[in-house]
Amino acid sequence: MNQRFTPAVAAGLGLVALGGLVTGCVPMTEQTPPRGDLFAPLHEGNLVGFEHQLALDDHAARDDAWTDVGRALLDLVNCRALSAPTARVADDPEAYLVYTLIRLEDHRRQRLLRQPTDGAWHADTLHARLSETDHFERQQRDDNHLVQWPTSAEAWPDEWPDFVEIESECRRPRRNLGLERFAPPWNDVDPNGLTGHLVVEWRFTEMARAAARMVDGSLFRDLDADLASHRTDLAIALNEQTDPGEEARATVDEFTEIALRELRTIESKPDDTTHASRLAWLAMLVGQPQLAIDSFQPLLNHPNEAVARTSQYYVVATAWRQGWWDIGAETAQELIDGPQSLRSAHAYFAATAHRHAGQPDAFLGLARDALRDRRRNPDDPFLGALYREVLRELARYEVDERTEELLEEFGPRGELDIRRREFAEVALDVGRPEVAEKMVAPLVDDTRDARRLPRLHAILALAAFMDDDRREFNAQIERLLAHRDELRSAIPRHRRGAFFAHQDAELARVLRAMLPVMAEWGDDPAARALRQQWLVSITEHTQAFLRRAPESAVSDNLTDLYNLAGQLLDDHPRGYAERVGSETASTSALILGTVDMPPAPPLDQAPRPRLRWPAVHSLLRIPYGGVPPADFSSALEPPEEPS
Amino acid sequence: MAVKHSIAIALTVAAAAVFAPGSAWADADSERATLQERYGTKEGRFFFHGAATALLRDDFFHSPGYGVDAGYYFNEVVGLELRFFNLHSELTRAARELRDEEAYVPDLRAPDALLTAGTRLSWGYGKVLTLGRFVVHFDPQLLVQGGLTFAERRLVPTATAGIGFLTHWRYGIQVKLDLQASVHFEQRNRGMVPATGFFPVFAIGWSPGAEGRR
Repeated sequence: MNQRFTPAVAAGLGLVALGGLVTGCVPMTEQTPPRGDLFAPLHEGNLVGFEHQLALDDHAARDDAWTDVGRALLDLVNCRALSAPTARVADDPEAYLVYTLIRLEDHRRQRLLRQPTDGAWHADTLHARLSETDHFERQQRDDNHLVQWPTSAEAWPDEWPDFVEIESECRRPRRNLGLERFAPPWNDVDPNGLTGHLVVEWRFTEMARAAARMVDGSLFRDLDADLASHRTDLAIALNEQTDPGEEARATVDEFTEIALRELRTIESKPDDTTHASRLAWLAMLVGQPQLAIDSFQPLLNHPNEAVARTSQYYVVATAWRQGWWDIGAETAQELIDGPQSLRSAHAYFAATAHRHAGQPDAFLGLARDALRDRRRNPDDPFLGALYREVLRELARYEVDERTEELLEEFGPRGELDIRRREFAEVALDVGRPEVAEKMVAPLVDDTRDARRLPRLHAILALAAFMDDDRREFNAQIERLLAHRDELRSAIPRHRRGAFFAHQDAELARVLRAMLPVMAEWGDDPAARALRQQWLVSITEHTQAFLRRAPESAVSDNLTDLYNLAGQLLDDHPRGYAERVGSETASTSALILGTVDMPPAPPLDQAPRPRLRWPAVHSLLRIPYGGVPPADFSSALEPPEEPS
Repeated sequence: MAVKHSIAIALTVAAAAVFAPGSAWADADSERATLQERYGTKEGRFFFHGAATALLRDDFFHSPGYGVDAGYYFNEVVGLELRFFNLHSELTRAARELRDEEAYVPDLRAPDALLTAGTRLSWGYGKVLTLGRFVVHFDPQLLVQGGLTFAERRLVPTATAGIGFLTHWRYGIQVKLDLQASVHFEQRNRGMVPATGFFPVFAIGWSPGAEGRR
């Protein structure tokens, strides 16, 4: 064996091995991964891979305008400052458009951060995902097939840039989130600051629109509609600024006009109700009721109940304010659900629209639904106003069982007496003393609470006055002041005013209420004669009361009334009245006449529920499908069917 | 011959970097680290080599030999290997004279063959530029193996340990050089006596599917 393994054999084997090695030598060649779909890693959420692609472009000197676009996208995703587009971006229309949209989204993010909102600042927008730093893969996973060399001055052509961890600045405190570079100094409550942001953002939409005109529109699907919708949102936000300033006002008006024009020319998708929502809301803000009502119509049957009821409320309320009763009545066939304040206001507008439209049955039907078995909140002006409207309507008819039933329905049974008294007062107000008498007379006998009697006698006294029944009037006044003399001696002098305050106030109320009623009787001789008789009655009662109860809390008011009534007497008995009355001449305004003030609620307190619609999700158009891009997607996922 | 920095430093850092996460983006503006794919990956591959060796124990025998080995790598770090060497042992000149003149023969038997199995651990990666145009890629490795030495009629437990360099060439060719220490536990006349030695191996081989860069 040793003989077979001779040096010659060994040399031969060595030569074969050497030849193999020479053949197998690895030449030094440049090795850089080929350029694939530059933006695919971004769509896949692989941020570290996306940055690596950009670094490879730089390393291989194959960077171009799309590399700059990629850098800008990377900055946007990581909430880093964006720079102006480079010259090569500006020379490429598609890249320039995409770059402009990136800058627009960057401005939107900064503006949203400043804008007060009920929910998350990025609700409905792409920024919800962009700010979710965990959504992206930011660190390269270990790969045993790759070797990482440390930083070195040596340049080996078979090496390429390493992956680097991508840190996000989106987790910085909101206050510091790149805002200082926009409009320093920033103030949370500075409306002008926000107005400035909105205006700048609008300008960026103009730039984007101009850039979009230079490219093939089929690649940028829905961009025009998205821009129009977004510009409407900007116009709405500008109009909702409390005080944008006089200079800004003209700009806001200009933007509003443009937004309205654009939105009306955009064809919305059949199932897209956001278009109508935007149009309706902007029309309301700028005072175009007809456009608002027309725009709300598609929303009345919206599957989202909140949208549907809010839309119905605004249609009814807007029509009511304009006096378009038929529109309001047609829309408001039934009441809506929702918060109590909204239900009350809607019930008032809806029911009274039917009343004004000459549909009393529909009015009473809606009113009954709204008021049935509910304790009225004294702080609910709309339900209170509706209640008074119903009472006024009922007072026009004779009292019958139906009237009683309705009154029973309108609240807890234990408070029926109160409602009967309220109804009587309304009946007096509309000139129906017989109704008031029918309501209150049974209560006088039934009431066991003596504190309620003065009010009931006051009502009956006024009813008697309106029926021109002086005997009954005098009787009711006597009953109103009943037992006063017996009790007076038992009450210490300094406490009499407070003890009889309620009784005295009712007397003053009766006497005060009579003067304006008398003014409505006209100026013919019969009316004047009648007025003189009642003026005498007023002065006698007043004089008698002031003599009986000089310590009364209302004695000053009654003294004024006495003087006023005395002045109006043809043979006013005392010069004293004229002298004193001249010092309180302002009270004479009371007798010029009465104004029938409808029980309207404070309309400026009507609820203004915010109609909400999702913001434009994304204004980005992210390239996809290689370089130059074959497609663009508004989301961070690849389009399902690239075109 | 250019070496990527000092080999010692490069190998050490490369070994750490294979397992370490990337650097922070904050350093991106400065010169960033570089990356390359391994030339000739080992993960999930079989390797076959023919080898030349010599067992050097400074005893009574010269023991050159040749052999074969087969290995499998579970990943880029850990692999198993089975080796067989046929040794052509012969007495040294002094031992021959003693035998011929004094009729003394050693109580150590001539090693005829060596069968070992064990692990190879790749703890780094390196490359060397040669002649200004060729690059030799290699894995520095640690070897720990155990087995039997066939010495005439004796079976001698044997262990080897050392370092090795597995270089990768084109067409899936590897060349490796192992520098190992050996320990034999042979039952001699005076009992079990450990005998240490130096056991270098030079091997050339091929791995199916490892034809260089992917």
